[in-house]
Amino acid sequence: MNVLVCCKIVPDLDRLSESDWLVQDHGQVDTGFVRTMVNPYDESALELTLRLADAAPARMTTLTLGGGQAEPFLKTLRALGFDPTVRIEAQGDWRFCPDGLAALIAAYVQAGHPQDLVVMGRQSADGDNGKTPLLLAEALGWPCITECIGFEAAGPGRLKVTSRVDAGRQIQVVRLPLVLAVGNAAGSTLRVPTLKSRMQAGRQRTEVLEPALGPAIPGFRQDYVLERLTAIRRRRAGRMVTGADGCALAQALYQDGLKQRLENL
Amino acid sequence: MKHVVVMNGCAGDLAAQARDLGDLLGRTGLRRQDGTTVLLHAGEPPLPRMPQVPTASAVRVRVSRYQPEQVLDILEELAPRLGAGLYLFVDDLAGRELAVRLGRRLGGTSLTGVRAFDLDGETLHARKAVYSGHMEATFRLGRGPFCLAIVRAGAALLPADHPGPVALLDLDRRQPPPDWVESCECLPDPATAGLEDASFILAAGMGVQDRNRAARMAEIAQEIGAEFGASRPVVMNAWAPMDRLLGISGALPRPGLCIVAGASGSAAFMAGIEQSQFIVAINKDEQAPILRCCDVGAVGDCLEILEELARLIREGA
Repeated sequence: MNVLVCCKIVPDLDRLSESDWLVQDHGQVDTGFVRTMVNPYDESALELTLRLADAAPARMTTLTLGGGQAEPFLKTLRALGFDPTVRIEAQGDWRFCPDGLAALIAAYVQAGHPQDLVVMGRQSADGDNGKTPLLLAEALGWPCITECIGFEAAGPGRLKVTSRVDAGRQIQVVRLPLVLAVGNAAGSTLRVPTLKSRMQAGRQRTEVLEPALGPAIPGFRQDYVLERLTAIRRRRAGRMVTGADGCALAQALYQDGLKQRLENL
Repeated sequence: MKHVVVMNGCAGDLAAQARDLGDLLGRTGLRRQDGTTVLLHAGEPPLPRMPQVPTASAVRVRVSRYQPEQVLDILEELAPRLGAGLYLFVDDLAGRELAVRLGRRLGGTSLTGVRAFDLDGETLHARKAVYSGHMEATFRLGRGPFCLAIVRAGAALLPADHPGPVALLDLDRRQPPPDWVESCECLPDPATAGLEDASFILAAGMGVQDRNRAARMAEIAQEIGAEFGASRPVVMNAWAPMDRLLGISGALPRPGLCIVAGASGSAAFMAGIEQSQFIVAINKDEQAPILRCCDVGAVGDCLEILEELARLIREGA
């Protein structure tokens, strides 16, 4: 089974303090000073795919769009068994361009890299578009299962997929090809490779592709344009109670608003 | 502008969908006579009562079950007849996937997580949260039809005498599952509704420290009559069930009171509790952002304080 996992390297936004959320020219936010990480939903997609490959033979490719800062992460993924690791050299602002991203991935799959399964997180931490897997399914003419929380092989060309639906879960046995959008999958932290496999991975190289921008990508279209970006402020009174120990703090919280609020519920 | 409100009657929360979309339609100035509700349902007769959405006409479509590819085909089939420039969905799991894929199929533009929008001639401006809830973006959408998934705002119910749709068309589009689906088993999740509609919530963050302490906090919630909620890291560690998730990818309730224990206050989590009327926060770290985003807070061990709070609440001291 050929599996393509698409992942994005994003800044750890929780490391930014309230005062860091400043909008610069062209609606940019400087997040360059915080650490980067694999987008959390994509991390789950990578780990769930590794579990699939643990149980059944699978050729795992990973694809990302970005600059050289993605290389340490791609090296880790090579050490975990993703081969090849592919990076499309990014130019320009792709935060709010899921249509272009889906078109790039579709072009990769259709240009001599056939896949049975494409897996990715449901949305990225910065763009929050939540559209790329859905648009990819439309571009490829494949079905798409969203909010996937687990999958396993179910015989030749078949997959057993567990996903969340509104007010419940759904378990389906489906025929491939398929696009999977991974949602909140509990216990899916990406495993850590051994030192030996990391050293071996260091000798291999990422396949770096130049993107064909704009109309050169089949199906590319810029759908919406960013007009304004503003920080969401959630500041409240933040009145702090004091007390010598936990009991005193609880007493103070209870008397300082909580008791009255409970009576009014 | 002609508009279509798509409601998923297979999800079982039709009244809440009607409430939120109805409230939004009231604020956008779209005319009732230009609106059509498309209600998908999988029930046995008698057919469901039309929800109170301010549209003049309605199409009630009976399906075998909610299957996105089949529902998309139905909406695509109906599109020429409806001739709409705007499709509105609730921003739930079904609404998001339908909005995005229908937008592509109709050659229009889609956007998920929309908080508000306004029409300027043939152009639509929409606002939504980005950067995991840290920022709000305004986008210009130029090419219709516009397919928007609208974030639930927990609006008030429409008055009981609100006129429902008058022109009603019933379609039967039941069919076997698509050929790529070999089997499908649905496992309902009865507890989900409790958190979304709760008036009192006790929410746990990673400061709870371990699975046992998280379980104890869930017990305390039950003892004091609160719904138990949790941040994404807590549920991803399987310290709490996924249906307890609060935040961008979970429940977005509007409780009267929310006690947050051991959560630092990441934006993704705050998006889930920011509509609380009153927030009490307990955290060990006095620098935690949550202590600036609460109404009243305390610095200390969350479980120690909660045990005492629970005693005070039980005794009504």
